[in-house]
Amino acid sequence: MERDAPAYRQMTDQGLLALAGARDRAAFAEIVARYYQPVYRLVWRMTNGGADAEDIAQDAFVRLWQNPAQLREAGALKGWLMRVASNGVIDRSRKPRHGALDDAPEVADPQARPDEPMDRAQAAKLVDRAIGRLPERQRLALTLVYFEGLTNIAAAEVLEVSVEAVESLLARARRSLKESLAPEWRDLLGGLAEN
Amino acid sequence: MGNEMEQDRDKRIEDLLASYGANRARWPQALEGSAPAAAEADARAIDRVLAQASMPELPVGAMDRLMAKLDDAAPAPESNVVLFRPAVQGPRRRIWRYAAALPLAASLALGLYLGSRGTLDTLLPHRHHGQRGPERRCAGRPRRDRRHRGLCRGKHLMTANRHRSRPARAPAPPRQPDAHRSSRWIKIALVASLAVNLLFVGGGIARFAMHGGPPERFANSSQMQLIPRRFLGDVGGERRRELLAIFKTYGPSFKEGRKTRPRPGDGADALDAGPYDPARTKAAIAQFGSASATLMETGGNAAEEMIGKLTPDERKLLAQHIRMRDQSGGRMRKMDDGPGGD
Repeated sequence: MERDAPAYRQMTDQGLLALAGARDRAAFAEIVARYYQPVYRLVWRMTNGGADAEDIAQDAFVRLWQNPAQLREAGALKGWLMRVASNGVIDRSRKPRHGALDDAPEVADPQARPDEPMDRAQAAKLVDRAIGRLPERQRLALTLVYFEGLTNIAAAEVLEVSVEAVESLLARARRSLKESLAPEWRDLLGGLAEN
Repeated sequence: MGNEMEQDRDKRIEDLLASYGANRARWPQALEGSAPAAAEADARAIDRVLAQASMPELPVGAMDRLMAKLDDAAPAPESNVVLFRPAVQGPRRRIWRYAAALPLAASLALGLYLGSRGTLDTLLPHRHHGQRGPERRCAGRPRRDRRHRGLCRGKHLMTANRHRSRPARAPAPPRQPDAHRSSRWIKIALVASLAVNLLFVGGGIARFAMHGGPPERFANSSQMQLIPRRFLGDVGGERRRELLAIFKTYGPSFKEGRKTRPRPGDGADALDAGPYDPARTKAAIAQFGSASATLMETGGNAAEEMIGKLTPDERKLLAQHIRMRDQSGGRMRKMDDGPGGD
């Protein structure tokens, strides 16, 4: 029985998954609408803005479409997608990469001058680059908890570690970030002397 | 107490600041209290920097491309399952925790099997029939004594295993880099030791269950070196007691003969006496031979009396056992003459 779009929007993940298991494309489209954005952001962050971010994020959803029954707990749908996507990133990172921010040649920004305040785009680029230099698991923990708002328990499940380990990864990530951005720290904070 | 709790809470607040930042809405637990100003400012600064990171939007048409891709995706087989569960100790490790039980169970099973067949009889503690002098006890006899070894082997094995187990009861050594490895070897040694003990325990249990008691030794029968022990084992309990009663009557004669027989040490004393006296050596040898002949004669008399009371069938059985012992050579002879054979 075909439902209209608002009806799908009212449904829980569990209901949508059940319909997706029956090859209901509209139900699956609602799942995509709910979670494609955060999954894509995670992959983008993990690949440092790599060109294959979209492919990897798509693969996670395709795997779910191929066999929705593999997900035992519908409540963990977002976490499951995040985990499959992050595993996809790790798999790809073992192959020769191309197009990632780290691999791009360092070209001096012609507009950037030391005596001028840093604009928003420059600051974002610096911070993205610093996050991209973090160790993989620290970057994943930071992305899941800080950027995607997962609870520490959900992040621990994605990372397959304890909650304490997640907290340790987060603390180390934040500390490393501050150390690696030390030269630009004042500029990033808008000239405030917060060192 | 309250001070300690406050310290714990302050420490936890600092940890949460370091992990989740200054925005308490992001914290996994609500904690009232203040952190050091420096830590709070540091966390707030990192939050402000992180807030400047890019938040990429989905590329235009990405959702349509994904939905189009679904048409090409064939349903996967059910077996292609990606399990989603928290990191917990896998079942494999739980299985290995009980791995030591396998050799122990196997050892016990082997012991039960060997005990039921009587293969372990020579290694198990025995029940003695006939005269049993104080010199036959395990304690106080040198282990080198081959005749004694078989009789007490089971006990020595148990004792040896107890000695081997001692390192486990010793106080734990100071922790060193290879302490884990050595403790693993101690565990393996303990399991091996326990396995050997279980083998004999199993053997003993099976021996009792299948044959109604411990293996039997017929000590006095060996004193005449004619009656194979296995013959007495085959004649049946009641009849055996009757026949062994004959030997019992000769017990005092054997005891006296042994007492009067010179010690082999006397011959040794004669050999290294200075100045060497050949006559003394000759006398020692003659005395030993004479006393041994007396003992042999007593044994012969006992055997003669016992054979005189055998039925024709029993005589045939005895003859059969004597021939079997001769034919089977050293191994059978060793088993038959075994401990206490003079």
